Amino acid sequence: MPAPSPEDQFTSLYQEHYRQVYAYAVTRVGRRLADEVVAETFLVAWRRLPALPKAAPLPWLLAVARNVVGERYRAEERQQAVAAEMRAWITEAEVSVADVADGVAERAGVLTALAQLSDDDRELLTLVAWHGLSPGRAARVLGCSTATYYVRLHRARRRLRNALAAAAEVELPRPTTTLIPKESTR
Amino acid sequence: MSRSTDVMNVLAKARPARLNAPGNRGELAGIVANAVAAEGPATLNQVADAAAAEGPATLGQVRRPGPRRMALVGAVGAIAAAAVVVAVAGPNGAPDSAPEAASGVASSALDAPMDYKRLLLVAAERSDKAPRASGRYLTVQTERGYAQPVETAEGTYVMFERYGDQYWLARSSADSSWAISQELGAKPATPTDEARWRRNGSPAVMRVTKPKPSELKIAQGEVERWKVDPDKQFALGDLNVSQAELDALPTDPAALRSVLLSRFTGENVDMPRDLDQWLFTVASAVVFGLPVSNQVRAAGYRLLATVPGVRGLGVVHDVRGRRGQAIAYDRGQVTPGKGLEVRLIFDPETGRPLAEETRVVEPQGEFSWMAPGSLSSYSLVLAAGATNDSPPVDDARD
Repeated sequence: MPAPSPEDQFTSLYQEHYRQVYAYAVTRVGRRLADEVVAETFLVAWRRLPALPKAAPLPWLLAVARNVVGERYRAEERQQAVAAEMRAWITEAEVSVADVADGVAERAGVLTALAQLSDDDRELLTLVAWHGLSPGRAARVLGCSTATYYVRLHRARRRLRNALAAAAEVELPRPTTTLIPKESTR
Repeated sequence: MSRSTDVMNVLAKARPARLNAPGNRGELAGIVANAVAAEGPATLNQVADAAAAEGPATLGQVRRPGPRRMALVGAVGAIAAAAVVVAVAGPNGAPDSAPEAASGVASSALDAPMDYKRLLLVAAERSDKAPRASGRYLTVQTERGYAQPVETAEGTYVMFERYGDQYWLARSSADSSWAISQELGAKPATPTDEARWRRNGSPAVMRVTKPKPSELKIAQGEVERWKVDPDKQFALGDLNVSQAELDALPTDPAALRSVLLSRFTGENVDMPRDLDQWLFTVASAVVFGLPVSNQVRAAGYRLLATVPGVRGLGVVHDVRGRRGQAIAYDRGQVTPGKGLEVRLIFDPETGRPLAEETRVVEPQGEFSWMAPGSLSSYSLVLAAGATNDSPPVDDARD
């Protein structure tokens, strides 16, 4: 079977992954600017097609998108765009109360808590929760080792939980017991 | 929020609809047209033509992505690819109780200089003879530690940031599967580090400035428990792996090798590109990090014995002082470009995996602050295997 032409390769790359790149872009720059980021990311992908990891291009594409975001927007501009985007998420979650009674308060609550976290924490958490990346792949996007990713993820998760608990009116007390390390039996 | 619900699952369910790309917009044509305008090579014109000819209709037909995979949503913070598992569980559970009494005679025989391959095969044999998995749960219990630098006016000392994780995977639909996790508090890495920490006033809270700012505490955190979907907890290589797939792993080393190789993606994520190094990494995950049966673990040991480039290190002690045999990848660079060496410690007498350790051979990148040869992270396998015990939760049947 002849190798697919670069054009075909690019077309299928785009068709398979643009939704994921778009979703990532929305979380990093908001919906209004997301198209620009997607377009520029795939332009880079086209230029560097031979270097693309064919088996699993998504982490590579998201790492490119991440760089595009970093180079293209001033921090202040991006923060404003993301803040506006998150307000829209929370509003939409609250508005959908009528449709789905169950779990709506929880959704709005967790999005509100997410909005209070640092940008780094948000990125770590959503790479796994919303973009479906395995930890190794999420680490690749962030440019760190998997072990480091776990540590950062653990901390970010704790901060999300704390933000959620602080927002909740009633939080059940948890029993604090010692779990591990039970010293080994020897 | 229910305290038995993982905050990551809540977050996953709250994914905003605004993340969904609008369809039918012919974006491809637009992108390619921009590229043509910017660069103009002939080939790009062809792409643009093709895209224009296909038009938005074709793009609109692109199937929507299937259910998103929540890779390790639950494992977040918990173990996962690197960590856990197993060991010889008695028929009634008690996975942590290795037959210590049996050590005497056998251990001296196994301490004699011996080819590491033979030691792996002995471990495989012992693991194979362990009871077949049966029990209400498959459990995996680990402690992980990660070196963090604390900078002071007198210099830097190293603390291990530690986590304890347990997985309890239900074997029957009548039970729920659980993850239980706790921050165990920071601990000095070596006696030298402990002396420096004391000289610094034995602080209960320390500030870490690199590679990312964070805070370390001596105190333990509270125990967190949450229900997990056993099909969304683990990764093998760069791909997620379900409990069903783990259950189906072959007990024959050659067959296991083929199944593992079928998961090779050639990515350089955090995994080696070299096939032998990759196989070493993935086979070690099967033995040391994942909830598999003792028989699959045995196949993993046998597979490790066939991978070229492995070096036997002889008798060593893990971070808890447990004695075992160690092997390492002899290129000293299991993780490409990071100058790291991975060491696997196991007990040939029982077939138990004890620990996985990562050392910095050539300090660089995020490990550039570390001394050559020092331990950058570890994962102790505290218990694993089938058990009839119940997970330490109030409402295990919920």
